[in-house]
Amino acid sequence: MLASKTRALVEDALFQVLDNSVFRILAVVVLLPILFFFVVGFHPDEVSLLWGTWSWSWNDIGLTTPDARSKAIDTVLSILIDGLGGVFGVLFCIAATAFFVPRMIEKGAADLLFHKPISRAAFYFSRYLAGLFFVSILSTILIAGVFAGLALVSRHVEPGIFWSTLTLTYVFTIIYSFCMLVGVVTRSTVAAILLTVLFWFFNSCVHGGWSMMEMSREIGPFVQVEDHEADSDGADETLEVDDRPALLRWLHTSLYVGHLILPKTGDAGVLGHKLRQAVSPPVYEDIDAAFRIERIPSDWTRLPAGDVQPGHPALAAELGEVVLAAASDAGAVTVVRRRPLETSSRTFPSGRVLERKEKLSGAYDDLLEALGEGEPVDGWTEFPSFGYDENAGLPRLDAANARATFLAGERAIEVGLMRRGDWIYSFELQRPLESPPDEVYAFVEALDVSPVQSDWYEQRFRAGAPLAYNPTYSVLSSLAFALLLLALGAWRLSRIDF
Amino acid sequence: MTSDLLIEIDGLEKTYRRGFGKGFPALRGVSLSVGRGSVFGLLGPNGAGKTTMLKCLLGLVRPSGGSAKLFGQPIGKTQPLERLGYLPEAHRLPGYLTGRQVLTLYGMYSGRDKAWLNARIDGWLDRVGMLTAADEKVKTYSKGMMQRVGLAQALIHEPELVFLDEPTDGIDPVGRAVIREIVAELKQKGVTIFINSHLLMEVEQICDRAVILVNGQIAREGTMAELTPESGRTTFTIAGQRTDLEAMVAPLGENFVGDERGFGLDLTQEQQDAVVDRLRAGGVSIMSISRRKLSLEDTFIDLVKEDRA
Repeated sequence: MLASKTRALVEDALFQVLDNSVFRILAVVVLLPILFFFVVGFHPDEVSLLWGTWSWSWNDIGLTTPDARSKAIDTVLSILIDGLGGVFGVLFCIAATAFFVPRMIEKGAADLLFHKPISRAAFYFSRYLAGLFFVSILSTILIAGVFAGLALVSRHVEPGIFWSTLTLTYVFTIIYSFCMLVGVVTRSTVAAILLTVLFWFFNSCVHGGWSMMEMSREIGPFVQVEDHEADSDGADETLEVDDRPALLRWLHTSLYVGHLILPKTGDAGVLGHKLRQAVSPPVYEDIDAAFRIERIPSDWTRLPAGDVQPGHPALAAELGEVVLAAASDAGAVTVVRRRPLETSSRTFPSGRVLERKEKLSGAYDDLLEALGEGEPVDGWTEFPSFGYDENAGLPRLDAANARATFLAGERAIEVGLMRRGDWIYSFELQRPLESPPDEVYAFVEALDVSPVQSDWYEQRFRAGAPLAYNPTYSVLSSLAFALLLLALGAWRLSRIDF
Repeated sequence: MTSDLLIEIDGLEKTYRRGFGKGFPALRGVSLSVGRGSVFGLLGPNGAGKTTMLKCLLGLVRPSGGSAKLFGQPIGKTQPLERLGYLPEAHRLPGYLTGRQVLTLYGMYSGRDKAWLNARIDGWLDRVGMLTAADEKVKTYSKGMMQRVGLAQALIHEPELVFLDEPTDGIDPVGRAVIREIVAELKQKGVTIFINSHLLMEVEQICDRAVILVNGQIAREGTMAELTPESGRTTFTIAGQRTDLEAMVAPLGENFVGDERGFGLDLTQEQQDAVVDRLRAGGVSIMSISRRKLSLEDTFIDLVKEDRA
């Protein structure tokens, strides 16, 4: 008997979705991005239209890096799936499913349903599941179609995009719970759509606002860096004092509380990216230092650490262990190394002990000294930069960067230093003198070293992070919020006299 | 022990509230019992509380006071709901389903197996005259077609107790006759039927008991015979024409009205016998005597007028 009732709920939901004209329209709309990947081919050397009828080299369309193809695919996927699908797709799906509850509780329809020996909550949740079914079908069609198009036409297999089915449905799971609640309270489809869009917008503002204030707090002008008890040898201990106006502090706290409580729909994109990485993990990742190398360019080969010959004997001693090395077909070699920052402590007469961390400038000076006979390569500019670089935008996040170029025998060597967490990471780029510098730079660009400053939130969004950045908390608190809304909706429905 | 009473209502009250006001009392302490196998009429003017009473029993409306039982179990339990069918007034079937799908899904909601239902659906669709349109979407149906499918969904799972709220609303005369037949068949099978209708003639034809609700209270309850008593008005038709009739019989009753074919009088049975004796003794040839009964409509209107007065 229970099986019959459950089956009826499922079939009813299915019929409601399949008969929905908006569903059918969306199913057709979803075919457009799929069609795009079937007619546009992303090949190693070129991009083609209509299976080679027209084709353009990557250089022709302004993409000069060796990994232009991957970047182009990533960008298009990001626009189509995370952008159009994650925002407009979900909005359309809300518009298409918002009527489920108001129509169910219309006078006449409610009488027919709610006198049946099934709880109103069961009907309510079945309508909710119908909505999720609606979205999961569409997102599965979209993702599977894109996957097939990429695999068949571009010969590019990207299994990680299947996670997007889950993240698109996840966003809808949260947003639709609100839509359902509004539907049951107002009994109006129009109100349900409008208020849901407003809620989503408000939600995004809270999270975006909080994230922006957090980022600004770290780098912005309102944090005064006071050099307490500074001594002559330049200890870089600092004490951050938040002297922002009270209103701003109150706003920041409110946004923080809002971020913790409200469902974090914006995290879905970050989650999707993380999940895709789980399928195609980066070649190197240091989570604590938030340093990641996504992939090695296609025309380079990874070298075992033991096979690496440093361009200069001092480099191995100064720059530490090899974490990644690769050689290009043209004879260039890149070596990524890291070593811990040196720390020392100083005790002041007051008894206060300050820990001092090595500056990148010191490391750079030591490196130049060790290189000794190295001299700059003609035509290359040596431009070390230390500490804060106002033009970089987010200097404190990016830590300090330094770069040196010199000649070692027949090869040009470029060394870049970066301070990441408690480490100094370095790139050693060796190339034959005849190789143009652009090739080396292109390689570095193609390495896709993350994080970049725009990934500020994503850097912090990882397992074990504080609640505000914790993926587990993000998902659980968002789902708990959605469950609370659903419970409220079901309770409200149970109190209505029809 | 299984009770023969399918419905037991004791002091049922419902007050609809809006905001913080006193609210509108739709039911004011209604008490009623309905036994197995009867066809029960629920009558009353608009706003009398008929639909509210049904909805309280079906769990669609929460009572403000009193208690009620279905199949011996307090209302609000799901188990008794499996044994009843309901055709709401002005119902709205889901437009995305076909007539056949409505019967399948709503039957399954009542706990019936799909195969069991499939074996019966065509029969019911045929019975209500909807077999040919069974696979069309409900959104294309006319009001009468919706009503027919609605009736079938109330009966498809073979309930023991059926609530029909204005079952003939929007149905043509042929369809009404079919519904009367269906109700008669159900009664024969021992199904208890609760009919809420404004069509008093129909209720009089179909029901064997009825309750008349006025202003949220039971104004009258009884069998059809009890609710449609003889009025006492007796009409005599005589052969030929007599001018002395009034003088002969008027003192025996009240409200004498004569015409060329005879006369009418308000009489008890004894008075009627005395009038016959007097007429026969006077040599009057009596062609017919008819005593007029009150219709359900008369009773209903009298009760409503009394209440308004």
